[in-house]
Formats: sequence, C-alpha cells, structure tokens
Amino acid sequence: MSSADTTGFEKAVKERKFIFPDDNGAHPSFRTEWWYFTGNLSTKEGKNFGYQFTIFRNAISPFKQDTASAWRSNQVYMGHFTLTDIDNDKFYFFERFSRDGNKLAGVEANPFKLWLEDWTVCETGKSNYQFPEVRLSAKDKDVSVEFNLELLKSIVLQGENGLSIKSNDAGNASYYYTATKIKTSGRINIEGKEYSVDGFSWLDREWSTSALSQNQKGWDWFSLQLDNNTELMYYQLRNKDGSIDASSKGSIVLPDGLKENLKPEDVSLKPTGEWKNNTGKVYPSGWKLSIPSRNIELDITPAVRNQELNVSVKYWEGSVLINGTYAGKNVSGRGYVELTGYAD
Amino acid sequence: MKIIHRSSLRYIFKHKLQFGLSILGIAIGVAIIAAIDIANISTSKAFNLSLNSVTGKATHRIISTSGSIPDSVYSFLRIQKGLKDIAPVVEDNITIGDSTKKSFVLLGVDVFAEKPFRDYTSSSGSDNKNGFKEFLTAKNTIVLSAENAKLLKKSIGDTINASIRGIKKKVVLSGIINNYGNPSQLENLIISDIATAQELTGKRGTIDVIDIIINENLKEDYVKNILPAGLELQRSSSRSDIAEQMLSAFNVNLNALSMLALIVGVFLIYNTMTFSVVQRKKILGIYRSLGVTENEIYRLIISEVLLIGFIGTVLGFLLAILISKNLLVLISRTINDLYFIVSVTEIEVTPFIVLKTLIVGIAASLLSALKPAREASQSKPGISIVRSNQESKILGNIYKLSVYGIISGLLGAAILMLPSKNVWLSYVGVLPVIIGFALMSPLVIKVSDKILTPLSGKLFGIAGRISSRSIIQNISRTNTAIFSLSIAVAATVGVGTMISSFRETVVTWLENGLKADIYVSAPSLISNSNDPIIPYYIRDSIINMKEVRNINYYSEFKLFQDGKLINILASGFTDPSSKDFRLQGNDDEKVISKFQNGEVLVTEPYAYKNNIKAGNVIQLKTDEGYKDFKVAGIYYDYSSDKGFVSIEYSVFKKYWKSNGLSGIAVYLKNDKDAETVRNKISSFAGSDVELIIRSNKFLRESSIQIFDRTFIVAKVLQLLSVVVAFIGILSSLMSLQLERNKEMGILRAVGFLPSQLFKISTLQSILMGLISGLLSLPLGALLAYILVFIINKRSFGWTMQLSLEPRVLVEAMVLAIVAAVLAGIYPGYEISKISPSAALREE
Repeated sequence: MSSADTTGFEKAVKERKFIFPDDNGAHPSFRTEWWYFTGNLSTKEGKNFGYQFTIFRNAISPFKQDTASAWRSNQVYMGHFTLTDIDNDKFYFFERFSRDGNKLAGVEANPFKLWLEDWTVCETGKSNYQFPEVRLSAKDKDVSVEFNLELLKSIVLQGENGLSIKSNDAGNASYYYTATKIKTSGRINIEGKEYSVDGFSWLDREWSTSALSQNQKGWDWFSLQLDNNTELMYYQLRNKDGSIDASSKGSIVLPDGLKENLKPEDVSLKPTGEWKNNTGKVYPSGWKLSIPSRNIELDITPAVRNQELNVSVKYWEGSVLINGTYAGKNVSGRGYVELTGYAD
Repeated sequence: MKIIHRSSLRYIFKHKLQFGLSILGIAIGVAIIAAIDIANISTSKAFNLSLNSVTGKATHRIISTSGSIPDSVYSFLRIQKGLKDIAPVVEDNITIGDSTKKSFVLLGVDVFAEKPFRDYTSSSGSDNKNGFKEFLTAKNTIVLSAENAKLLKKSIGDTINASIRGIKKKVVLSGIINNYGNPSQLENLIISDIATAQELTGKRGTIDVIDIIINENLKEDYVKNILPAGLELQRSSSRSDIAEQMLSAFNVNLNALSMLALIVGVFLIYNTMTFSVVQRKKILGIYRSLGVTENEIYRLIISEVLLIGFIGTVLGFLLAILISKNLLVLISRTINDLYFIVSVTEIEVTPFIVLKTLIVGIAASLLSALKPAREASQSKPGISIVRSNQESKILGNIYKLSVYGIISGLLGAAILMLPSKNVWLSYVGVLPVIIGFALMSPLVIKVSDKILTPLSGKLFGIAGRISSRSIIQNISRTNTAIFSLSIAVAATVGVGTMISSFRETVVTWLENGLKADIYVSAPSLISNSNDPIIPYYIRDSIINMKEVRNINYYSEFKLFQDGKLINILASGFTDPSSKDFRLQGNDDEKVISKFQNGEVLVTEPYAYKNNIKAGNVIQLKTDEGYKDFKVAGIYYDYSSDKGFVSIEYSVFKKYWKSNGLSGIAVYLKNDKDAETVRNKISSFAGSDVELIIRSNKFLRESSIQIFDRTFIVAKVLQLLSVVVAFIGILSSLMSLQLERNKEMGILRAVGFLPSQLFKISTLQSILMGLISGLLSLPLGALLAYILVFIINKRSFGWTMQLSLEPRVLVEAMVLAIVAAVLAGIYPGYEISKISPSAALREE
C-alpha cells in the first residue's frame, strides 16, 4: 500500500485545525486513512475477548473521473475484523476489500456512517465528545459482533496538535487523533454461541499520504488501558538497521482527559519473549515497558500468542494483558499491540 | 498371403487410377462429414471454454428475466442481505483492432468481488506498474491476454479502435495477462473494470449478471426467496444448454447436408466395385473352377472394399482437418451473425470424431460393396463367361427393376410422410427415394436409346449411332455411371433449389414486412439480436413529428424461464392497419383485435417447435410470476429459428419492466422526405444515444447480405458434392474404356480412325451426361421438395415457398454434360491410341 505514487495527493506537512464532526469523515485528498477500533471485553461470568475492527481507505488516484457509472471509483476500502477468544486461545480474523463505487463502502461524517459492505459503524446518538455514539456491527463466517460504543473521554490530538511526524522527511507524517476510552457493550457470537459483553474500546483515526521513510521497517504500537483510568499510547518505529527511530512517540491520557506527550528517550521497551509464525518469522511476544520519569513499570503479555492476521499484508495485532506499577501503586489493565514489518 | 489375395492386390495395382479415384471419392465424402463435425465440435468447445472462463467458479447466476439488473440490486444483496460470494458482471460484444480486427466478449468485473470466481481477473494489471490504477480509475482501459495482444500487435498504453453496438470507441490497453492456464480460455475475452464496461456499453445503472456461488452455506432456496421480483437464479451451466438449444437446428442441418456428399461417395464406391467385379467375372470364374468357394470370393471382394474404405477414410480424415480450418471460419461467422459471439482458432479433434468417421467411412464402403460382392461370389465356375449375359440380364430385368424402384421410392415417401418432427428420420427417408431412382435408371436408358440413337445417328452418322447404341449395350457399366452422376447432380439441384427457395421466401417476407419508410434501431453486434436500449422519449418525439403518419415500435428481449430461452417481442403500433405481421389464416382483423386485448402471437418456428396452435395457452414468467397467455394466432417470421412470442406493448409493460425499445418503424406522410426525417431523428437523439437509422431498402439489402453469408457453407458443401460426382463420372468412364478395349480394337481394325474413336468416345460421354442430367432433374426437384418442405421445416420450423428456378435446372444439365465430357477426355484419348493388334491379341 505504500509503494504507489503520491503525486497529486495532499500531505500532512503542518499543523491544522480539526473540525468535528467533519473530521470523523473521509479526507480523500490524502492517500491513506483509517478508522481503527480495538477493544477488550468480558462477560459477567468473566469470559474475556478482544476485538479489532478497522476500515482502511486507500486512494488509488487523487481524483475521480467524471462518469455516468456509479461503479467508477478511485477509493478502495479494506476492512480487517478480528476476534480473540482468550479463554479458548482462539483467534479469528477476516479481511475484505471493496471500492466505494455503487455505495458498497464509504464514510459519512454527519450523521456518522462508516461501512464496508455489511460491516458498519453507524451513529445512534450524539455524545458530549467529538465522536458520536455509534453501533458497530460486523459478521463473517461464524463470527459476528454488535457493540454500542460511547466515548468516556474527549478525543486527544496525538503528536503536535494532531500532526504526527513519522520520520525526518517532510510530509512523512499523518493527522492523528484518538479516543482512548470508549464504553463498549454488546454481543459476540461465535459459531452460534452468543455472549453478552462489556468493556472498553479505543479508536485511532489517522490520515496521511506518506508515513514510513525508506529506511524504516515497521512499528510496534501499543494502546494500553489501565485500571487507574489512565491510558497510554506508544509506538516505536524500527529502522532497517535495527535501531529505534527518533520519531517514535507516545502519550499518556490522565483520568481528567489531559494528554501528556512521551518521547522515545522517556520510554524503555524490552521484549520478554518471542513467537514464531507458521513461516518461521519471529515476532516479539511480551514486553517490559517502563517510563522511569513517571515511575511506571508494566509487564505486557499477549492474551493469546498467535494473533497474527494472515492477510494481504501480514501483521500481528492482538489483545494484551497488563500488570505492573504506576507511581508506586499496583495497576493492571488490558490493551492492544500492533506489530508490523516482522513477517516480510 | 493366399494366392487369391495376391491376385486381388495385383488387380488393384493394375487398376490404380480406378481404385485411386474410388479412394478419392470416399475420401472427399468422408472429409466433408468429418470436417463439419470437427468444425461444429471446435465451435462448441471454444464457446464452452470461453463460457467457462466467463463463468469462472460461479455455480449459479442471477439474471433479470427482462435483461438488466439495476446496480442497486447488487448492493442490496451484498449489504442488506450480506451475500458474500457474489460478483457483478457487465457483458457485451465488442470488436477491437486497427488493421486486424477481432470480436470479443467484453467482461466488465469488479476485481474486489472477483476472488472466489475468476482467478485471471486479479492478474489484470500484470506487465504494467500502474496497471491496476489505470484499470480501476482511468476510462476506456482494457486488459487482454498476451496472445490477443500479440495478434492485434498492441502493447501496454496503446490506444485501439473499438466498436460496441455499432458505436466507434477508443480503448486503451492497460494490462496484459501472461501465462494464464490454457490461453484459448481467454481467446474470446476482453476484461475491463465494471465501470469501464458500463461506460463503453452505455448500460447506465445496470449490470447484466450477478454471479453467485451456491454451496452448503448458501442455499439455493434462500437466495431465491430474497431475490427482488423479476430476477431469476439459474445454474451457470444453463448458459451452454441455451447455446446448444440455439445451435441445435443449425448443427443438425449442417450434418445432414454433409451426409448428401457421403451418399454420392457411396455410389462412387459401388460404381468402382461393380466394375471391378464385372471385369473380373472371367478370372473369378476361373477361381471358382479351381475350387475357391463362393464364401471366399465374397470375402475377397469385401476385404478389397475394406482396404479401399480404410485408406479412403484415413485420407478423408486428413483432408477434413485441412478443410475444417476454412469451414470453421465460415461457420463461426454465421454463428456470430445469427446467434452469439464465438471466436474459434483451434481445431478440436476428439476420439469420438475419429471413431465416428472411421465407422461411417467403412460402413458406407461396405454397404456399397454388398451387392457387387454377392454378384462376384455367384460367378459360375468355368472359363468362358459370356459377357453379354450380364447385359441381357439387366435388359431383361428392366421392368422388374423399375417396379422395385417404384416400391423403394414409395417406401421412402412413406417414411417421409410419417408424422414426426425428427430431422434424421427424414434423411433416412431420402435414401430409399434415391435407390428407387437408381433402380429406374435402366428404364430411362432404354427409353433414351430409342430416342437418342436415331437422333445421334442422323446428326453424327455411324459414329453417332455407335456411341449411342453402345450405352445400352454396355448397360451393366453405363447404368452405374449414369445414375451415380445423376444422383450427384440431383443433390446439387436439391441443395441449390433449397437455398434459392429459402432466399426467395425471405426476400418476399422482407418486402411484405418492411413497409415503413425508416427504421430506427439500437446498434448490436449480432445482427439478429436487439437489446432494448432506445429511450422512450425518442419514440415520443418521433410520434410528434409533423412528417410522421404513424409508427410501430418494438422491445425485444430474452426471457429465461426454467432453463429455457424464450424470445419475446413486444410490439406496439399507433395505427393497427400498419401492423407488419404476416398472419397464417384469413381473419387478420379478428386476430389483431385479440392481440390488442392481451392475447399473444407466436412465430411459425415457435409454434412448430412447441406444438402450439391458435387458441392454446402458454405460460410466461413475468415480473409478477407465471402468467397464462392465450395464443391468438401464428405469423410468418424467418429471423429466428427459435421463434418469438409477440405481445402487445401495453400488455407487455404491465407484466415486465423495460428500459427502452429495440426498434421503431416510422411511416411517413405521403409527400415527406425520408432523408429530412432521418436527420431530424438523429439530431434530437443527440450524442448520448447512438441510433442506427436506416431506410427500408438498406435494411432489406443488409438482411439479404447476412442471409447470403449464412448459406456460404451450404454452397461449399454443394460444390464439394459436385467434385465427388465428377470423380464418379471420371471413374465410370475410365472403367468403361478399359472394358471396351477389344471393341475399340475391332473398330480400329475395320478402318476407324483414332479421331473417329475419340469422337465416338466423347459423344458417348456427352450422351451419358445428357441422360444423367435428364434423370437428375426429377430427382433433384424431388430432393428440393424434401429439403424445403420436410427437412427444413423439421430443422427450423418455417414454411418456405418452393421456387424451382429454370436456371438451376439448366445449370444441372450443363453440369452433368460438362462433367461427363471432361471426365471423358482422358479415356477418349486413351481409346484413340489403341493399337488394334494389341487389343485383339488377347483372344
């Protein structure tokens, strides 16, 4: 997805003013954009699940031809939907593609509607924050989910007021905002068995034209929700030479919704284990993440070791369990980790 | 090897030319049959292969009973109903190319839905870095197989001229598919994005087919229940069933025509074998007296024939492979004209064809040898066989043979009159008729002798008398030659008359049917198929023109009903008196008024093939489910052998939704100029709607042109039969000459000059040609009658007027005589060279 020509597209070169709800919709003058939902949920009986629901928008060309055909399109939507059945050590993943033509996929900002065929996120009501209450529903083969999502904290603009610089090259950046704590309740159905679940989701919204530079290999991205009502996002960009790129960054969202940025030098991230996929490629599996300046030490463990999406671009994205200390106090939590560039 | 076999081989080698001709005759006969088979099978194989690559892994397809499916239906099924294994398809015929042009099926697909269906569509962008981008986002971009790109001499980025439904376009080659499985699978295909296909074909907001995979997760009944009205789920394979239905009459007819050539070939072998037996009477008699049994002689002759038959068949098969390439071009062009687009380049020889050809060739040879072999085995032991016995035997039996002939003819007539619709049965009936004629030929020769001998004597003196008289004196040989030639000529008369009758009928029908001044139609690649795409406002604007008296308008569409295809023609007229149906029966007004009140009309082929009579009820699948329609009447139509069901327009609109019209016939007020009106229509149609506006004269001429093209194959077959006939007469005369060595030697000895002998021989050839010609006329007329009224009726279901043109008859006579003369030149030359002493030394 990153090899195509970027001429004619807008690039994220400077800070911008975010306008809601418009910015919840698409920005077709940028090449890539995503709506990235992840979440950890449990039944009353304590059965645990994780899910990922992502819609990617990818512009094949900057402009759409004028045409009488409803099918003509320059926007391709890709969807990834996964469900982790933690107690049964199972991971389900699905991928689909569609053009936006003939209304097969698309996004509307107000009222909010995001869909890729019958995978949908639809506004059900207004909220006190910038992103409305929505109903997310996805179904493929024997797995389906239906969740109501409601923001509990205001969205945060990542990077510098929403401009998230990914490398030293100008324009290798994205516009990036996050809803770190979204109350989630609904139903999960696996092979005919239905579970009523509650928990929290996380939404990342990002759009860009080019992100990674030539010498970057991939990233390890963490979204952690702690039980002290604090959320932590951190990503480290890995260079091809094995070093960590200086553009790696993160943020902490405090209980009151305030965000504080994290620089790579603030954070120490050490893998504690590894996992091999079926082709023998090695992923880190388990980490010790510490932020000495804030006296934070967290052990992060994959809820299920194999949460690799064996799709058109292979990556690992999965639910994790967190245990550790935060300013001297014990904390636990759940989160999601994304690992790219390991299986190439 | 037994001595008699060696003797038999020696005989064959000694008479190389004769046996060679026999082999050639059977070879050509077999070649025609096999070539037609090869061409038919190759066509159907190519069609199925391209159909398979179009169908991909779809088990079923969703189609609209009335032709096109709104875009929204697809989104509805995918989003609201959550169907995953479905893919939209826009399909049309397209011709592309600059110097080399080729017809293709344009397949417009949505690559994102393609994965479960067609694996080649994903490689659409190969060979081009930006291929996928251009394929998806740029207009007019197409993808070809590497083979087709090479054929059209095009590479990535080239602009190519294209024509879709008669509209000229330009397309750009954005991708080439390399190394995909069997290249002939993509032989017929151009792939484009579905949006591109809609833009190119002008199908706005509609798709043609939704492919679907039905399996244990998605049940057929479930899909049927959720389909909106007017849509039908059918098995993918039903497409090839329908194609087969469309072509069956066409194929049967070709096969049948090719049989005629074989029949001629059979007589040729019969001719040769009879001669070889007659000539060897003496030696066979010697064998018998040496103790060779009847059975052994019988087997000897049969094995000779098997040898000839086998060699002929093998040669014929090789010849078939050669001619089938050319035949393929003719046949696929006709199919493209009349039925659907198919492009065939590969010749397909299946084990079935090989086996069938072998069986047919050898069986035909055996059949023709049965009688000569029996005669040979009945040779009396003894060395002095009086040859004149043979002649007097036939002469004595002339009347008996004639009676047998009449009986055989009547048997044939009885078979032909059986109330069956089987085409093959009618061919079975033709055979006894031909045999009947063959049995009558000695009588004809005798009668001719009575008339011709004095006449020829008067004109050419003694040479004339001798040449004529010796025909009857050598009747055992001349008879076979004469009736072989006459059957061959009759076959050409029959086929020729059939074609001209058909043509005459169609011309008359077109003249009666095409009475309007201007015809407006939508462009279509297949000449006799019209998709309804003329918007209604064009009709309404035409009606309102002050120059226009009244109009008739049509929507033609294919109704898919329970795996069968029914052609529906909805027709409306602003003035009933201008109706252009030529109805059977005499109460036109009553029928038309019934028609306007909701009853339907069917064409003659439809009625014939479905056993429909006026007053019957037929069931049609409308958008509201099955409805009964009463048949008001039957009308003549020669445009489709499948036939049409015609429905009054307002009735049609009630039951089916329609996107527009297929054609409008415009009648002008008396003093109005067609050209002016034509320009006006094209100007208000604008550039959005592409229309073909033709005068009735032009439409008539182009229809006839297609008709003539269709019959090229039949004409080729006819010509080949003549070639076989020519070989027949040549071989007969050669045999005759060999037989008469001694006789000619005597003539030379008594003072005849070589030039006189040549004259005698040539004159005899002319006379034999004349008799053959005369004999062939009634038989040819009879064959024509059978072809026109029985075989064609059974194949296509239409009634034709028999038009026996004097020209065809004269041509037949000329053909017979010229063939006889040409075939007589070489034997005549040989005869004139005879040295009397050498010829007489034998005794």
